[in-house]
Amino acid sequence: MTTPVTIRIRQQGIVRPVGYQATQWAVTVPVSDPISDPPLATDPLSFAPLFVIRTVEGHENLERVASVGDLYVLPVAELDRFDVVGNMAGELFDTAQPGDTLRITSERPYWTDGVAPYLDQDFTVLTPVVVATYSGTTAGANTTISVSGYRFVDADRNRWFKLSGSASNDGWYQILSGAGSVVKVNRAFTGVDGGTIQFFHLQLDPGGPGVEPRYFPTREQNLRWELRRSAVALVSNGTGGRTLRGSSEELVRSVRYTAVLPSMSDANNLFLVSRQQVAELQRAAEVDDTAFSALLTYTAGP
Amino acid sequence: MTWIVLDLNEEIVTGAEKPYRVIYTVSDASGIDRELFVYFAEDGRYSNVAVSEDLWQYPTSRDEARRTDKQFFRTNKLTVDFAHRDIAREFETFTRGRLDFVTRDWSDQSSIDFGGNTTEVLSTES
Repeated sequence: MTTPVTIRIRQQGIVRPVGYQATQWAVTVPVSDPISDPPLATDPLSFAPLFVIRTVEGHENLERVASVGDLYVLPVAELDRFDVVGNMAGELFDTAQPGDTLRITSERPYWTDGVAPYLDQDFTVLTPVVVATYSGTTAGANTTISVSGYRFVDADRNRWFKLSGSASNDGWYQILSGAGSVVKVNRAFTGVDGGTIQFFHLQLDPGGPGVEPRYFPTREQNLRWELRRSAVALVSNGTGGRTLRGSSEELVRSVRYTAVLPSMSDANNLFLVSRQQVAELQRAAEVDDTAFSALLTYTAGP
Repeated sequence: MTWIVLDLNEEIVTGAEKPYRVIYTVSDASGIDRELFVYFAEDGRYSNVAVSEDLWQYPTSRDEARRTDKQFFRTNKLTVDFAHRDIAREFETFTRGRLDFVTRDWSDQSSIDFGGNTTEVLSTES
């Protein structure tokens, strides 16, 4: 039989005070507009993460709509992680529990688009996650620590880690710089010591089945934030928030992509190119599995 | 009182791979060194805004750091280039925060009186 593949995307353009917001997402729940019988979303759902995103130096761009090959090769990584390179990181990761609200207090006008669930700047916490664990050894009363199995990269500058299991240096430390496996932190250790080093992210709850999943709309730096529980702010005046993905791969797939472009024609062209590429993906994804040949020979060229 | 005067110069270098240039200069200071930017002595690479321990430990020239076998040295100027404006802005915010922190922390530490000669009489008679 032929496996039907229906890919349905929505494209929403909003004129902002600065730039033209172009948001596209693969629909993952049944919708009724335009009229269809039955109302369709992207089916099979495995085709939903179809936007291939390229990340370079903490900045993202839409690379293309996925090819069939991309669907097999590239990992899925949504913008559902939060890290802090400013104040209150330790308080956030030590305090956050499932169901808490992470409120982004920096204004990002293009984060709300009037379509649920993108109505405000409040996000539901799924859990703090440990993204890396190492063992570290301090050499003495200074600000450096040697981290076994770790190599400093510029993206780790200003990140926080938790040191535990040490004799007298447990706590949160911020990486100021590094060279190889040695990092320099924001305060001095008390002497020769060692322990376990853990890096954390906060992971968002995208919501339950039957509703559009909720992620951070764009990759952002330098966000102010607070952590709330039952309408009470538990951690306030957080700074240096970063949105990010759970994969460090340069190319990943995502169900949603938002860009703010300098002109309307740029935004419209992005929509047009995306629609054409989605149509190509839809055609390529229609497979006829009435038969499976043991040997097929294709000839290309003159 | 401890204070610093911080000059920030932002430049856009047209055509450069990383066109957003941030230049910080501590042009004046009181109660604390102006040399608050820490660099690796080995390759001259920028490391961090100084913490108070850096002010005690590291010299203010690369030559002296090499001569005394120190891993870092300090200067009063920092130039960094970025590919994206928002990353540059985050760096500026963070750097200002660290400079504010070290100024306050150094002030707290240096205001604790220590040094000189004191004679005390200790006796079993109270």
